[in-house]
Amino acid sequence: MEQIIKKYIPMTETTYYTLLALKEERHGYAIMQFVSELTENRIRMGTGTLYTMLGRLVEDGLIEIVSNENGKKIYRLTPLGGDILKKEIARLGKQLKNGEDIYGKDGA
Amino acid sequence: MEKTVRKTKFYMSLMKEKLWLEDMAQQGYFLKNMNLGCVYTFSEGEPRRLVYDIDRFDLPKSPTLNEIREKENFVSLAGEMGWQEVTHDEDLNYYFCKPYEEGGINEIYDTPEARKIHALKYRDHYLKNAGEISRSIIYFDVFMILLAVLARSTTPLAVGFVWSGIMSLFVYFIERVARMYENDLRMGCEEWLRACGREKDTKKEYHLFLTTAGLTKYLHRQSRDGWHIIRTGAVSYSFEKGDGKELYYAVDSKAAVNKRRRKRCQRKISDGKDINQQNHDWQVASVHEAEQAGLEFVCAYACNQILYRSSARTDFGKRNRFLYSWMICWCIFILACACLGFLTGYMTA
Repeated sequence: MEQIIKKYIPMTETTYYTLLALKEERHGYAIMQFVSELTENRIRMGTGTLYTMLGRLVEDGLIEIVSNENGKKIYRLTPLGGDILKKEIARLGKQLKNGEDIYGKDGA
Repeated sequence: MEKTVRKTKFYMSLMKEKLWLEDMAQQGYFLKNMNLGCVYTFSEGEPRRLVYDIDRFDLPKSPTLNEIREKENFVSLAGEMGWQEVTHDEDLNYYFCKPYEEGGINEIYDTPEARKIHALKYRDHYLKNAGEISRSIIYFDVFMILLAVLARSTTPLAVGFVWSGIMSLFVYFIERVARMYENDLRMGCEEWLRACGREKDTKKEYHLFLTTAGLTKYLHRQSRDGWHIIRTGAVSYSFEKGDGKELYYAVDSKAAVNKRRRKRCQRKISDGKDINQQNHDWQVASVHEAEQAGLEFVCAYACNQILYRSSARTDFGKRNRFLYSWMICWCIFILACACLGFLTGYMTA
């Protein structure tokens, strides 16, 4: 657990949005679409990026493969992944608060 | 029956190959098959804009379950994202292709992290080959030495010597290829096009200059035509289109830095421990001096020279007359060794 926290917090934006996407069961292409829509095309993940990230997240037990039909894999967040994501959200909240405290709410 | 066209072409660079395939698709030829690393079979059809990517899936000596499943997983995810597996060649390079998507991601490896994985795959593949050949040279030499002892003849020794010489050159070549692949693949396609001077506002030229005066004059001329140098190799020069501002260039080297220091009665920069001449203390000193003289750093080549520019004519680096002085020194050294070897051989005979 300690090591996983060290590895994933702070996490990259793509990892963060992928974990968000996997609150519900989704397959690879759906993850990419969800993230594109949520961020208004700001973050777009190509095949290589998504592939390496999903592989690593499964290996570290943050997400799991729910079903594998005709090679089309469907992923979902594990309880461990949920914990890590909540920790990261809390960290990001603090980070945002520190920023706003110093620079004001509109960043002005 | 579909009409097919066969073309023979050999590419060392993956990027060039990929761009050529994309060019062929725009002319209406779609890759169907690939043999021997150089025979491409295309099917003819309506011209379309396609993008290609080439990948490989090597297994380590004792692969884990995940590593065995890697290819299957990759192909299925790539399929979801629109990439179709086209074919593979004898060296197990897999060709993927996808219709071009305006404003979309048209590369499999789209981030530096993912590109690095791709680049290292190729580098490791070639380094592994180089390692295997090096090992085979050693086995061959041991065998030849045994043969020479058993047969009481020196012929096997000579054969072994010549053969290992040729193969060592080959190993060196493969290692260079491995490094080239790593460099190329770490860049995205766009970045690569810029670095190679293939974009409209970039160019790459090859020249051999023996004197710094020749080089700086050439760069000055280029700057008048609006070409500003961004990168240099031993004989290659990459330019970027800029404003037609006239720029003056200066080349600095370790020898020149030391000459200036001697003149000012400062201690010479040298490091007795540094056999490979990799210590870059002289570069630190050179940049410092150049900035004080009002010059701007442009680029550097290996550990041998630094290129500076300024908008006014400058005397900086004038004492540095010859480019490649390090190479000339090496040539003289090797020639001297060869002469010595020849003379001793002659005398004993």
